Amino acid sequence: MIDPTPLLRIDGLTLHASHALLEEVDLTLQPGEVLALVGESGSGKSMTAHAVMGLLPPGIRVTAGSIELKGEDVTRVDEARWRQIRGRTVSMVFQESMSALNPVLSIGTQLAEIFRQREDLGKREALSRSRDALAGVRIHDAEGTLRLFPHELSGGMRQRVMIAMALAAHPDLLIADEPTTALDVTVQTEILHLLMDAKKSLGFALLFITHDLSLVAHIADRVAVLYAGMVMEEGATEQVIHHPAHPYTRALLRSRPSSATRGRPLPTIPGNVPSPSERPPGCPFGPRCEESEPRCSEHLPLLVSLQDGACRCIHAENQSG
Amino acid sequence: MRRTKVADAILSGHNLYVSRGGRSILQDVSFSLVQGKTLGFVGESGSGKTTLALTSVGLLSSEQGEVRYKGRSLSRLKGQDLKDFRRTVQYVFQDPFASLDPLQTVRSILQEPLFIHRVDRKEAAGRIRQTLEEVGLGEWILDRLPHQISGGQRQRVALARALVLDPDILVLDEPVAALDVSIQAQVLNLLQDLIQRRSLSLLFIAHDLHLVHLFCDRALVMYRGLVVEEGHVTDLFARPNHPYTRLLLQSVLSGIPGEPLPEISPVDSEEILPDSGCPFAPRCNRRIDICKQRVPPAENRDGVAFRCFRPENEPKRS
Repeated sequence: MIDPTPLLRIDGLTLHASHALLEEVDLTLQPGEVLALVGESGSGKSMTAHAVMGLLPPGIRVTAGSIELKGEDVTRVDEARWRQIRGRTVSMVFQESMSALNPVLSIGTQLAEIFRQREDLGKREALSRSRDALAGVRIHDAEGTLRLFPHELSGGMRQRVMIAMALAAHPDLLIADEPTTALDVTVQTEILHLLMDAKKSLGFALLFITHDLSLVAHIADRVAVLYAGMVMEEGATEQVIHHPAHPYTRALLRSRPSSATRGRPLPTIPGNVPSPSERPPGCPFGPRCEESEPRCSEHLPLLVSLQDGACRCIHAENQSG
Repeated sequence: MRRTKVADAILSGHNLYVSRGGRSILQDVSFSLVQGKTLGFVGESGSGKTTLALTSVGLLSSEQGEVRYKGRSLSRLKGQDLKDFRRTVQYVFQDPFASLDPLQTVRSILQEPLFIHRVDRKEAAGRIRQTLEEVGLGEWILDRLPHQISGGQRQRVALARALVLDPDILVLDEPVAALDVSIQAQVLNLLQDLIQRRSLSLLFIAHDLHLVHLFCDRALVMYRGLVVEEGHVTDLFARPNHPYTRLLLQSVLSGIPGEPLPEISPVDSEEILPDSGCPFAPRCNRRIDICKQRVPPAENRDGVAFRCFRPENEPKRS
């Protein structure tokens, strides 16, 4: 029962700067679904998110493929249309709340600005909506927080403010780019609860970007594992974590400190994540893969559909015949 | 907390106090690092774990109490003794990109400490070659600048810089937090190896409890400048006494698909640090009146020390 027009459909998305940054990325997100994008640095997970927000840095071009938000290909829309899409259709919470907020404006001014712009509200009304928005992210002293500046808030409080801003116009899709990576564990748990509860009550879909597979297990319906700008594996969370199809996913799961035993060496993945200019021919993970064969370096494996998901590996190509 | 095993401690802190701008950052903190062992400092941001590490190696000074190296007070070390201490204790920072000079080649990064400690050129070259091999790097890296190598390689260079001086004590401040998952395991295994091969004593600062469990023999759990619990990691993890230790353990994600997020007692983020009493009291679901009145004294139970008026494992009352 797949909706004919998903909320987000990324099809064959390829991005280039001087080298290919993303190659043929396919992702689909249904309304209300949580999709986790997992990857290491340079995997292209943040780049994918920025492309969906229409916020690609200058110099990075979409050279192939499309990003459809509610059926509209947003790789072809102009900035005026983007201003209508951003906030309402898709919104984003960034990892670094300190650099995402304006340091010289109070929280109230920044939040009220959103309501004044989007809904053409007067100053007083906009402030009262801002207060409600802060209460909505469980900030008890919303009134007092409106008067504070970003540096006066803790990291966890700033992230709450960011979430309040991102949800101000009730988007259909929220992108959260490592929203808890810089936070303490107890605060991380709270922010995750907050996001998941807000999702339940507001019904948005969530694209959650992280490097942490343990976290993914608790919040995501589906997982896409990216490596060197490509989707290596995609599938239902339980499937990917309990029965990973790609050797890279297996290696990532094994090398988590949580799966290690005291006094014994951790299983490792040899080598380094290749930078875009150093990507090897064939499968980008080939040189680090313990299951690699000579033909892995000969051609890039296709992303092969599995029963419920997909995998980019010659071994999966063989299985599907 | 208690001055346990002071005799075999290579480095120990005794009732340390540090404050800044009238705010207390370390409050009556004591620790003891036993020769050849690894002691973890665990806590959230603002807990004082980095301040304690810096104080332990003499990079910050304590207003009261003292740090002792092999039984001698740091404040009394002078001249050559002080220089020797600084060679003996090496600090590896969390972010190798920030801690390595971007304008120096790896060669000069590794030479500098040796020249400061008056090792001659020929011997320096030999030591650098040997140390590079130990941390799994080739000599090709010597002419590179920090931005020309990967994050994992940078952290290996930072380790090599600490090791060229042949230290006895290594302080590792979140040594893998800035690294990718696939690189973390490599660096952690390298650390395990080095600790054993060189019989190093370690102060290990981490917020990841899995890492603390893997690496440390004992750990201090810190909250807002106070050591709330201290003991052998297996005891701490199996039977936490302090509600904060329990909260930290509860926050660890199991990583099992379908399992709900851990339910933890809500943090009142706008809470103001209490003027008196236990700093954890505002967040604590076991608090009683006395918790807000004074800081709980350190109490020992089965080799674990903790500061709590109403610990988790209270003996059963019939």
